Amino acid sequence: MVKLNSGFYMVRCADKATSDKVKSNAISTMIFLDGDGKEYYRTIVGTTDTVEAAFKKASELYAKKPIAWATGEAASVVSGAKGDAKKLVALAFLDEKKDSETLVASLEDRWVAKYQERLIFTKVAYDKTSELCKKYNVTTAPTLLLVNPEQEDAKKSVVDSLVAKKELLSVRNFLAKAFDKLDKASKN
Amino acid sequence: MKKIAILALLALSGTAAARDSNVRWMKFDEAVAKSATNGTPICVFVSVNPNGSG
Repeated sequence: MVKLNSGFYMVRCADKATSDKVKSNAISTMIFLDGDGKEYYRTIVGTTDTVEAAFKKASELYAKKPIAWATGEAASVVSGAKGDAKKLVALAFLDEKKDSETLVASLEDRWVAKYQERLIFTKVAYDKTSELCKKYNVTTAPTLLLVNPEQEDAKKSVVDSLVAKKELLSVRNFLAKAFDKLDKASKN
Repeated sequence: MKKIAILALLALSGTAAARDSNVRWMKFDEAVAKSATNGTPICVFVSVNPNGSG
């Protein structure tokens, strides 16, 4: 058997405490959780084939996702994004260096891929002398700005910024915090 | 149903005997804590279900 389990942390649930945490209701169930501890797939298995199928499905559901970059000028992307309060524009100021590549790879990672549906990504070639960099006060690459398209004033529209950080954990924490804040604000 | 669970456990372990398995079984809280640092998914296998049948 191919080691399909190698990409997962394996937990055997045979006690009440774990059973309560995963809300297990049937023996021989495989329950899959993402990096945020949220369940994303559950199935009952019994044979090698069904176990393999479960691992394959779980890997497909929790997979890296390439970014669909918006086309056009950043300003027109921002103005065109108005109307959906749950979405933000992600302005990625990138250069040709490794750190920018790493930031993009982190944004495409399976852990943060779920945020992509709430973001409109725009790639901006970093040039510190450009009007856009001055407008948003961007002085280094990579910089990721989350912009609220409903806010007219450029500086006030920046919900949060990730400057010179590109590691997956930093990106994940940044996005989780930003959307948590946005969702709380929309409830009030 | 218990027999099926044992068969599944063997399949999960990928060896003839689960006790010789090369799978590193973790405690749930340990898995959640590690997963929260790198996004690695967690697979929980219910071999005994204290909350219901089986």
